[in-house]
Amino acid sequence: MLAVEIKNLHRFYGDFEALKGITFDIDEGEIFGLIGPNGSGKTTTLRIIATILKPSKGIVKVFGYDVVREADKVRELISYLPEEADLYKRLTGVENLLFFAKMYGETSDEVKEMVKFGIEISGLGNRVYDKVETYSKGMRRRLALARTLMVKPKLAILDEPTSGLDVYASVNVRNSIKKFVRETGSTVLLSSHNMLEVEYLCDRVAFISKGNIIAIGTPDELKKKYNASNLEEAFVRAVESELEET
Amino acid sequence: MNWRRLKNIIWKELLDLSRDKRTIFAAIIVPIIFYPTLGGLIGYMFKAQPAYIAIIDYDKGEYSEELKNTLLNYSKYFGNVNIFTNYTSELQVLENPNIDLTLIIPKGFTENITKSLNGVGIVYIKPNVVSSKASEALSLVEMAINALSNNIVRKRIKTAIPNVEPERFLNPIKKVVEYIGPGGRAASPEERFLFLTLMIFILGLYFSMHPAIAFVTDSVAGEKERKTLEALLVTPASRIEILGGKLIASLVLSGVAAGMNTLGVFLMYTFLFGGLLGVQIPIGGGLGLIGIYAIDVFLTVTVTVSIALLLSTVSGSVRSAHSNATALTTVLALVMFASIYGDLEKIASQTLPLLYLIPYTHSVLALVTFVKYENGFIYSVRHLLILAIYTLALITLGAKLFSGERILIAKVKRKGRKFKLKLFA
Repeated sequence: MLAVEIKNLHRFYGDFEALKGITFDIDEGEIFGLIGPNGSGKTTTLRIIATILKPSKGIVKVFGYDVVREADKVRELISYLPEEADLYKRLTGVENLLFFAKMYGETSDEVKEMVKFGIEISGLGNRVYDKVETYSKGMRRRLALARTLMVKPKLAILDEPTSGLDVYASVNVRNSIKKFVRETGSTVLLSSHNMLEVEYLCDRVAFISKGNIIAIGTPDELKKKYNASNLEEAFVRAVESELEET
Repeated sequence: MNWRRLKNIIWKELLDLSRDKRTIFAAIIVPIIFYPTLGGLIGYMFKAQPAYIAIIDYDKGEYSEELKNTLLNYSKYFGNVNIFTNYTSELQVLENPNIDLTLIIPKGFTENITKSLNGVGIVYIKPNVVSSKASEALSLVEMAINALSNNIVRKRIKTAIPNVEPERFLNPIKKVVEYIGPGGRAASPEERFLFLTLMIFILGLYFSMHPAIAFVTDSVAGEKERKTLEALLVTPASRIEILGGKLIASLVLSGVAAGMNTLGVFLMYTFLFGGLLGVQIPIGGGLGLIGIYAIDVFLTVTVTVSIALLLSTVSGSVRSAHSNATALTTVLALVMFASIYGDLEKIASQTLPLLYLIPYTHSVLALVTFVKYENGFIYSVRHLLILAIYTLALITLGAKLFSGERILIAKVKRKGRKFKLKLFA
């Protein structure tokens, strides 16, 4: 079954067209990467899939549910880590996890299980019982990721999951995502600027530029298509060839 | 509506807001300390500060002595008053800037009074314009002069028309004052202070509003500013559950703050008037008025929360939401201050019906009509219902505005393309 199905998606902000009819699918259990420069439409796409923004035109479905008409059902299946997401700083780490777990869990056992899993993903140890205002940026991002993944969503949407983190913290986050998918079989849709990260994590990748999907495939397919030694090079060539065509 | 999620949101909001020590201190602790301290301080300052009266007696006659003695006698019952009789000239008095009032009895004062039945004695009273106790000193001096005048008139009556009773001659009209309440019934002694009670309650209403603004702007605009809202909006919780949880939590804390504010304002006036007049303020209107006031505070706070909620959903930061909500509610609350100096019901019903459009007009009228009319309860409930309708309408509007899309792009639309690009990243 398709985890995400996007057909001819347009999004306008006033006169400005942020998405110009993009189309792509994500298979269940896949880690799918959306790569593009600033202002290319990545966050808009993720926000539409996450039911926060409405499409101006086109169809977006998550596990067969329409994100506009069946937004409530979609929100039962997904979890979202926004790029600039932060946590409730006056609450402790575990209180943050508990709050989000209670939003998804039906029974107290389910909630306890989610929080336990969240503590494990965060890797914060006993610091999870401290107030978030005492955490470093890296610790906050790990807790935000844990909060997103602990509910074991069918689709996890991660907008720049390692944004602003140092190398060590980024590696920790990437490993957490990989481990999560291996253990749960969930689908992950992520956006990133970091090509190494995308190459390491993603089964398939879409390049997005100026509101258009300009290439889509596995990292190896894309490298081969653009005769590049790595994904970064492939991305640059894809954008350049797009510019030449227009 | 999923009650489990609603309860969870309320729990989170109460935990989060209650740990904001500065807001809790400013909204709940400060009123109960600050207002009574302020009232006590003003009362104490007024009571502890003596009034200084200087008397310069150039006459040294029978009546100037009587006037001085009357003043000295009255001053014993008039609080903290010091009378100086040792000054011999105005120049001496000028050397003491603490003198609040100077009484000059010129030479010939007694002689002018006694030389004929038409004789008039003159005294010069010079209150100091920069003194806060001058009016108190003036009252005392005028009382003493009136007493002396009455005494002189009685003597003249006895001399001129010996068969007339001086008291009846002086007071041909006997006043009988009977205070009445709504419907003409005799008012209890406490009810004579109803105006004062209402004034305190209306001020209590005003002070109750502000903590509500702090809580709701922190809860809604704060969530946006601290970048926690987006993740919350994607949880299975519906918009109504999120908004409802935030509203209920804000109302719980606002209710506590409102109670503290009302108590603080009441204590402020108790200490203030206790200090000024040495009297305690009784609560006229009884339990009925207190009950109506409690409901009125709740609905006034709820309306305020609803207004702040609307502004919070379209504001980019806590600061702008808070300042916008404070500015708007303060302007609307001017009716409360106006009602202290006049009958808002008369003004609204006879000259300015537009006032009925302001929700806080109904907050005031719910109290005023309760004590003014015989069946005041019915009128009061009518105004409380209007407040409730306002609240429901504003919350419904707030719920409609509280969509992820509107919240996220509200700032962008106002601030232009520069921010649009940031959003699209």
